[in-house]
Amino acid sequence: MTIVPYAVAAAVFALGIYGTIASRTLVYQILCVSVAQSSTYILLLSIGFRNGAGPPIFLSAPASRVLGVDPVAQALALTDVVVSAATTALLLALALRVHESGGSSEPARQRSESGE
Amino acid sequence: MSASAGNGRRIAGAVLAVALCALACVAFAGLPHFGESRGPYEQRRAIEAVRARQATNLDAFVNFDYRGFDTLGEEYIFLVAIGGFSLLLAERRGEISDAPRPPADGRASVAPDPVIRAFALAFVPACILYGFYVVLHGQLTPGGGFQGGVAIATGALAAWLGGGYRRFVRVFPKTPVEGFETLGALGYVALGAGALLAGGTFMQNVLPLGKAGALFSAGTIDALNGFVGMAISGGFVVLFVEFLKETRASR
Repeated sequence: MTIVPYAVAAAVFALGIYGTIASRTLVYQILCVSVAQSSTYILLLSIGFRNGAGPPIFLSAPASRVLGVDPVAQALALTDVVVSAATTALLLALALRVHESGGSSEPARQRSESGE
Repeated sequence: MSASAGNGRRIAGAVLAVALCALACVAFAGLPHFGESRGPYEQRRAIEAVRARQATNLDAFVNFDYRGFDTLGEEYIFLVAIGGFSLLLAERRGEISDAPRPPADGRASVAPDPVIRAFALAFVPACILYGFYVVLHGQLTPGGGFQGGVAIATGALAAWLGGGYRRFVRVFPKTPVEGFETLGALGYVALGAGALLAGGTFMQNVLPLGKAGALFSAGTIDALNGFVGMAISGGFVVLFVEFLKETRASR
């Protein structure tokens, strides 16, 4: 069963990539990029997890073997979440601009440069 | 445009996705088995956090002490993305002033339901207070500047839910909110550079450490959490305001 979390991360990533290619409108594409990106949370937390371990919070310096999940993986996932929210907003603003200049939020239906 | 072109793209996408999934699985096979990772520094790091830095939350210790310089970069990725987002939308609207405008054509101005207003009245201060609690206890318990900042911004958004757009921009005017955000960004760098003046290296933990478990402890970890909380909460409120402006008349 040790493979399941990693397989889930790989599957979520692949689904996001498929959705980015298959969606017709920019908003769906942006959502699919977010899905692909969220696979990194699963991957990072899976790498950091340890059987039987608690949260990495210690009231006093541990004398013996530490039983806490890896805080480095958690710290990376944390900043990942916030940056993902901001970049999604930026992509949505770009999609608005594209809709305005091209007349459609579907990349295939953009007005051509020649003004058609 | 035709259905066949769309199908071709879908098939190509599916083939690529399956190939990427297989490649990722091959790459992940080299990782430690799930639940059995053993970092060589784990115990060393935990002892260091509590004894040398008086921090009990190892996540905050890693983010704001070991990786303080990286977190500076992450905070700025967030702020630059928000800045670019605001510029794109403001330029699109051809905006020159920040005065509130009436709703755009075709958008009804709906007064919030009394139940929602009552909820927002209770929720806004409670949520913002909780956000500050989470920020200030970042070095002790789960939480910190990033999480608490989002909680503060959530409270602010509830003010829009209960009071509508005009009240929202009156309670959270643009200039102070952006000032809060900027102060968070500058404070982080200033604290890092302040360590140079104190004779240390950039981002070194030079403030008094206090005692593990106290509200003000762990030196710069606590202060940096505060600055990040300001930057994140300000940034998210700016995000809301810019999106809300899209629903208003353009001139």
